[in-house]
Amino acid sequence: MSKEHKLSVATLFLIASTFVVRAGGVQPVYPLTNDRAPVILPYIPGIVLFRPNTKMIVVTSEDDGIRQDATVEGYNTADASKLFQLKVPHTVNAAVFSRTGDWLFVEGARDGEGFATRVRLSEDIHALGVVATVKLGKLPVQPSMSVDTKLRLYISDATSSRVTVVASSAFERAVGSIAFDASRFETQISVSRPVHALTIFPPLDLAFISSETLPRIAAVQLDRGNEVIDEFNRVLGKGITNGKTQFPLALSLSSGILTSDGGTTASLIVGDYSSSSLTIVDYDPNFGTMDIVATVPIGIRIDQKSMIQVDPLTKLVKQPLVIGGDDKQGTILVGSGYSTQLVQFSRGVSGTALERVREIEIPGPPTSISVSSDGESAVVAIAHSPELPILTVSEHATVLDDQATKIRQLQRELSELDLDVGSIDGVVGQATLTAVNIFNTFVGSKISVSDIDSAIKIVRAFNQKCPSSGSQCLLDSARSLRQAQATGTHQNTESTTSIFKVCSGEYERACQPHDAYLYCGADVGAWAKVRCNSYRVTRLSTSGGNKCGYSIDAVTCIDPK
Amino acid sequence: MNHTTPTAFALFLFKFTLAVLAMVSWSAEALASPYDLVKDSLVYLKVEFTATKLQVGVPMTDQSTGFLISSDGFILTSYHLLEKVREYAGDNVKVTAVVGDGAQPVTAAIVNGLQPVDLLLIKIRAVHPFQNFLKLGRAAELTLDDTIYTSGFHDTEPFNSQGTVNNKVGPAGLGYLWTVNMSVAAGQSGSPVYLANGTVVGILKGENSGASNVGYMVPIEFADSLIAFLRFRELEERLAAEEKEIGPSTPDQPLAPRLTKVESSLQDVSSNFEWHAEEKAGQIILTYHKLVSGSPQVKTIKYNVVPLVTENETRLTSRDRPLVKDDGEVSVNKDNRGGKVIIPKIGELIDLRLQSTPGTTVARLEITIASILDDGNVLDPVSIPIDIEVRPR
Repeated sequence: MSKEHKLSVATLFLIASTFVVRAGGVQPVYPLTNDRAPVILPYIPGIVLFRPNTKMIVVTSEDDGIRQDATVEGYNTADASKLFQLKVPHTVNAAVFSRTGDWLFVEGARDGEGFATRVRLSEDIHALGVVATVKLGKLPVQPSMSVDTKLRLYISDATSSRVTVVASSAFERAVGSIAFDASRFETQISVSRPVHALTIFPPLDLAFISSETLPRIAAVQLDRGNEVIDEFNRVLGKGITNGKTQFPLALSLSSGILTSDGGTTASLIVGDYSSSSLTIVDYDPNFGTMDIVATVPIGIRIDQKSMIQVDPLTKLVKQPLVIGGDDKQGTILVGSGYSTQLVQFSRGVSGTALERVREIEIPGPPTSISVSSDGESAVVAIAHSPELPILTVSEHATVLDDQATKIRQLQRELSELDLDVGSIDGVVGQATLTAVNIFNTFVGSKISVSDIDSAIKIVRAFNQKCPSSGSQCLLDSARSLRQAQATGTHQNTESTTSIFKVCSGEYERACQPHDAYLYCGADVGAWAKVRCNSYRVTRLSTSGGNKCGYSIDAVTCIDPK
Repeated sequence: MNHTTPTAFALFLFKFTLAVLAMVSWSAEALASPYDLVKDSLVYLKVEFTATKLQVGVPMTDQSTGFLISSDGFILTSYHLLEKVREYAGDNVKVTAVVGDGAQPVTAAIVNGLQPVDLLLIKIRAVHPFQNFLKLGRAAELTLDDTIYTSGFHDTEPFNSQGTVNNKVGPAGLGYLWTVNMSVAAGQSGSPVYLANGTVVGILKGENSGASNVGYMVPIEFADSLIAFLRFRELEERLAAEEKEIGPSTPDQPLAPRLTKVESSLQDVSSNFEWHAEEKAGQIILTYHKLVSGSPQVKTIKYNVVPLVTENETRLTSRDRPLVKDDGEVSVNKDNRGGKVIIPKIGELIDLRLQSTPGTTVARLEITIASILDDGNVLDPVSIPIDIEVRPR
């Protein structure tokens, strides 16, 4: 490694090392409801997307395979008013905002060729900025897109292990022309496998790439020769249900995970349809590792038979899971192409576990979900329906069953001790019981879910006294418990145990110092049996002499009679 | 003039002939296939032993490919070679080596091994210095599309193959095992993986049981702690040679850039820390060694310990939540060529974790270490695997 390189790494590290990846502080939990009247669109929506840090959404019309263009509209979710409308000269298959929300990129097809359009959005949004459309070198299949700090657009292709990067200058040159050829402004990044989904975390120049062919997500360092820093593989153990079909991992990036000292890092919400599980994976910049925070079952109601949808042309399996999340993972929504139910999760209060907040009914299976940056609202595109439900925080939703709330509280407290309670859902399952048992064993308590109030009190008190990580505190507690028990036993032993030195031989006078004397060949064990409830005989020494020689045995007499 | 012209002509003819010869030899080298560049450096290795377990008293053999890495007979191969010996608790172990094509077998000595990353260093006696040893490169500089080659022995037959690096991470996210698009067969493990110019970038490990054209290689950097002395010796020799040619360097002597470069390489070596981990009585002992004593030393480290959990039923392994992330104080050895950090309570932490996930075992940990040096520099995090005593529930 060159010195220069090392220094740049050092700088990155110094920036990075100021955070400790453990979500600090309390993340709010917003239970969402579908109480408001939906926006009725004049078309079927394809993609919905919140503009970062605003209440504004962008909706694109679905690619129906007939039309060659698409409508892109902006709405204010606060009052459902329309902010702008734009026609783009191609269909829309993918859409993404720049990190600041100033630029919107949409990508799609026309006449079998790939196009991308970039739109500048003003702050108040009443005026649309410059719109530029470029023709791509090729039409990507099932694309996903992301933008870096230099406004380069990354477009993946599910049939290719090359990611196309379109330079910002292509869009600048394209202003005012129709179908400007961007291929000269394109570069390619080689990755190991065809890409299912791609997302970039600009502050660290990191791309997270979900493979199309394997349940695997790679963290790729873009400013260091696209080196794979670490990989996340499917978490085992939740029962793989779909036979041989390998579903790629669905992926959503949250870029505002708070750390204990106010920094932020990237975290992924990973959905695995095969094992029906949801996993939170934090990127730790100190080590360049993708660390699993929690894995829980999604537990979504399936309304339709799970027919695996395969694209007839590309033979690609369609991802059934649709995921949306806010910057801090306070609100995570998971939907399935086979269900009219959304499940809301939250990284919530503890920051170390996934909390199952509630289930939300929607009029049809979702095709796209977006959650606002603050987690207080969400929008869902429904398959074959012009209805656009806007989910908001409702007072009604916060009323939860008292007992369930208390169980959640206990589960939260236990999860803060690094104990695996499954998802924090207010339901006492096997995982919760195991965690309670482990707590009892390590702390020497007798908490039980049947006496939930005192259980919460005891675990919370233990948590409050814990200065370091939860598991360390449990171990320390177990150690002091063991020591206390050992000391207790020792005192017992002193009071109830006596040790006798027994000499065996022909003459007592020839014996070394002893407490009792037996003649040649006598049974020391039998002697001890008469005097002790239990005993142990240890031979201390033997020496030759007279008829049978001499031996000294130590008789440890426990509980003398 | 009349006298000098024939002389000048003869001189011209001589120079011309030399130039042609040089061109011919240059083009011959340029046209040499990558396989030809390494074939004389390949070593056919055979291990013979007597079983003292399972099939007591039965004589057994195993074989693999290795390659020469120094003129004095050091050979790098895969630790695999000793796998069968371990399995049958072999006695009277004898390793023989055949260098290149058709030479007489000679007895080899096992020098050192790194079992977790499957590397083994052995040595044969060099009657005359070997000229045909392979140059070692850096796998880190490879990109995924670079063509790589491998050669070795399949049974006793030579084989050649070529492919590309598929992924710089192997199964279960292991960083010391890279996936390559090459077909690999039994006995080929230990073969060099090299570039078109014959520079070695890895050691072939084995085949993916699921896919016939996917194999694994261990990047050559993981052999650094085995062969550190060779890399260091090479640098020292270069430094001596350069010094002889252009004299010792001073900071303002512009004529010595090459020397400065070699010296800075030496500085790189002095910042080259090889970490090693072992489990002892429920704690992890991390040690590092460096080739050059003195500054810089590691002041503190940050460590992240991730268990690889195996499901008892399916035998599938995946990474789990980190067990512990913390800072560690380094105690530097007296000789200033290494140091030690202890990660306590790991055994207990694993036990605690396994209690909450019944039906799983942990047999391996991955420890990622970020070193902070006493000169303020911070090194890239490194990951090292460590096999631990299998812990069932």
